[in-house]
Amino acid sequence: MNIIAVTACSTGIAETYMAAEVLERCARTRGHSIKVETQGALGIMDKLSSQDIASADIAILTNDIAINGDDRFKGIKTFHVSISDILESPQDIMSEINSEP
Amino acid sequence: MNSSASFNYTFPLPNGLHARPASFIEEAVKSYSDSITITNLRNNKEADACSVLSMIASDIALNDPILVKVTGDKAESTLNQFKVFLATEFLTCDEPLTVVEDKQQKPLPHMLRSEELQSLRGVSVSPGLARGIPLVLGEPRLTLNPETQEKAPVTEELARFDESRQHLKAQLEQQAEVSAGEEKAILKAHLSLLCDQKLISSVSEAVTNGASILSAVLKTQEHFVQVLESSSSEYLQERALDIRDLCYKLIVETYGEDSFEKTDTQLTTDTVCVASSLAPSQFLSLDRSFLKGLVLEAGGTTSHTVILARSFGIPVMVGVEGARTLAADGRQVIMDANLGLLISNPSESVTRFYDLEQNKQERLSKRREQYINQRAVTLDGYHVEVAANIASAEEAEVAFAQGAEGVGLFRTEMLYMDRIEPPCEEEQFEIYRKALTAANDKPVIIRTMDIGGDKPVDYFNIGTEENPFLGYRAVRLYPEYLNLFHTQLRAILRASHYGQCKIMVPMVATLAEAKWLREIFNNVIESLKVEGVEHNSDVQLGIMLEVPSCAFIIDQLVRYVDFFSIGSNDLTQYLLAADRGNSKVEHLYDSLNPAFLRLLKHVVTEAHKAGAWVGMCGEFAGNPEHLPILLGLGLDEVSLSAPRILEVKEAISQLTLEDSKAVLEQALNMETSEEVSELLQNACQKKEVMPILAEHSIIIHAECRTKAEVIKTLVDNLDVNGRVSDVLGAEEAIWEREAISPTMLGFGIAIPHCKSDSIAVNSISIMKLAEPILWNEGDQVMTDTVFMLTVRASEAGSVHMQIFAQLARRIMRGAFRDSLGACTSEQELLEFISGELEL
Repeated sequence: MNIIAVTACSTGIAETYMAAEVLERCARTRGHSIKVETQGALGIMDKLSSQDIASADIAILTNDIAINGDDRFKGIKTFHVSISDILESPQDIMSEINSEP
Repeated sequence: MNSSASFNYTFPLPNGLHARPASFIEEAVKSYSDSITITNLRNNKEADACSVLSMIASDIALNDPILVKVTGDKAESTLNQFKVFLATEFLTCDEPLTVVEDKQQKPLPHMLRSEELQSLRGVSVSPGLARGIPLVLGEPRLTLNPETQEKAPVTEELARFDESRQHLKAQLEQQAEVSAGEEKAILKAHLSLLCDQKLISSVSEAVTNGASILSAVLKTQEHFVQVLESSSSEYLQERALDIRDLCYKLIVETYGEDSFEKTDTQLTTDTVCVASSLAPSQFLSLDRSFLKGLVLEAGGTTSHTVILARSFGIPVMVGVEGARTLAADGRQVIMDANLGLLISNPSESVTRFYDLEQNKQERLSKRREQYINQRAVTLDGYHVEVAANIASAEEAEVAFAQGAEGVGLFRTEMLYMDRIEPPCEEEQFEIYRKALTAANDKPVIIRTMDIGGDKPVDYFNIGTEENPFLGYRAVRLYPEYLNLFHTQLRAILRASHYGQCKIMVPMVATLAEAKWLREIFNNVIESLKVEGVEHNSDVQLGIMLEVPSCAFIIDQLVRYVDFFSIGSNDLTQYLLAADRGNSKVEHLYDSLNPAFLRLLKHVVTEAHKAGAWVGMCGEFAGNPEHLPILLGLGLDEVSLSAPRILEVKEAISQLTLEDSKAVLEQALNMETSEEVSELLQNACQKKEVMPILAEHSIIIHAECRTKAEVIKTLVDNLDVNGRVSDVLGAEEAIWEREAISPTMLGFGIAIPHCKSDSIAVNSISIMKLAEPILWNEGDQVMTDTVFMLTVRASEAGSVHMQIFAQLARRIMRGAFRDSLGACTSEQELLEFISGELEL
């Protein structure tokens, strides 16, 4: 599966990157390909290109704070999750994604 | 022939007519043969200008309408004389009172907020922490009965009163003689009350009417206390204590110590004293080795007891209503005069909080302590002497204890003020010698008298000038008052034998003045030689550089003077032609104006070219933010008020000469002082010298028992290491983030963090706990490791942010966490993390 994701948190110092790390590791162990855009204190890093978005099967967006440019993901199956869900139970999120038809 | 004259007047002094200005009036009026009454038209209270007490009782406040009435032979001329007095000297006789800046209560830190405290809030007037047993002090209770007190015939009783008064007077005078500072000032105030005509006549009249001295004194006390306490001025209300104290002393003087019950105020262990209010003599009788703090229910911030306690460095809180009741059932109290909080019977966690707090305070003062005996040196090894400005010999000792490398400015005009005749050579010699002895061979620059229009002195007949700052002052007076100048030079030169003394003359504007000064200086040395009087003939003679004309003749001035000290206040005023007391033009008075900076640059360059050294002793030198400019200029010395010295020395040790030069170069080419100001702010914030992770930010085997203790310990640690600008703000920011969602990760690691303008240096702090704790209620896993990330508010996209991001990612990797768990020392942990993050 082709997963794209955007992470962002209130201070932009820690969780944005922790969540990105977790998503990347989890997806890869399950054999998915993934690209995560981080919107934190470093600004927007690993920005998703329109090509990335076009070829994605699924988008995971964190919902702790507003995501920059969330209108980019119209038409893609999108999961809105909280950072703490990602950090605490990433496996649940992955299972949910897998169970999607 | 008796005539009378009157005029209306609006009272101009902000603190009202309290004891100090009242005694000033009394002093002036004494010399008139006519009598003067002052009526406060607001309340129609009339006062005799010969009595301090009656003037105080008239309750005159700022802007009250006053009617001044003169009766006597020369009413008209006396009136005019008095008018001039009120318009000149009187205006400057009162200093502003120390106002407690922040009467609003500071919020309690998180750890205390969550506690159920037996506590009261109050206003801190002298900061500090105190712990001990509480002791409630009461007013001394009379054992004599005023109703039945035996008395002698009226004449004998009057004589006895007079005798007691004279005894007490002699006693107070003697005490004043051997005391110093605030204590002395307070004794003098009591002396003037004791000699007050109204007080004396009130007692005498009652005695004449058949009362005993005891009941006469009590009646008089009651009268004046009532008058003062009903005053609308808080300051005057507090003078009632002084009256009580004095009457107490009078009664003891007359009837002996037994006239009051013996109260057991013997302190035997660390004690926090609690009282409704406390008289100065009661306070002074307490053993200060055990007196750790003072809590008063009365709200006044200007009572003499408060002033005394502050001068001894004892923490004081006032306005703590109910404190006596709280203390009465307290076995132990903690008084936090930083927060304005009195806690009775603290719980274990509160005690632990204050253990942490005390530990931090001690580490903080220790951090700065190292600079007390260290020279101020920049990171790249450039030394600039940091000296103190003082105005009396007593201050020298305090200044050196606070880290001064010398005295850069000993103002001597205070020696000349508030007296009828100038100080003699011997008196001055002793004072200068005292300062030089305290300096222990460190340099002391004594500035010869700077007297003139704004600092009037009776025996200098200067008169009123339209523009005193451009008028007859300082060196310009010396030719007319040559004897006085000679006397001062002789006194200084004789004292120079006892240390490293330099002489500096204010307000020199021309080469002729410098030449004249050198001549006089040489003459005085010559005559000391001839007389065989001990002195040091190598004493340097310098001038204040405060008149811009001097900047252009430095090459010529050095023929006659050895050094320059820039008086930044006057130099700014004269360069920009702006009076900073005038609100319409004060914005022009600006020492960051690039024109002023260029002048400074020119002065320092020229002086160094000519082989003379240059210092600065104005307010500009006392602001740590200006340091890049001061260092960049290449000044040899800066002189500032003593309490700022350690801060400035520490700040210098974190700057480099090279960067400072670059900052100055930029500043010189800017267009406005606002640009310069912004430049300096950024320059000071650039503390990149401190690494994001250092061994001092790692704590292993921490014995914290709660999340709150962990956070306080880590934030306090940042404070001690100079990494936060506002420790409470930083702690709050961490808690605000915690409130959004817990920062505990599932595997025993918590990462509290914040981005806040209370953070001065981006930092990673790491703590490994000796015993794991529960980070949040309901956590499934205990926390044993804490990473705290603290980031400056203005930070975005920097190298540091990449490090934080990298660290955040690493924490999520099992292998990283395993290696982390294996580290057992600070050093090991530092090496591991630095390696991982490529620091």
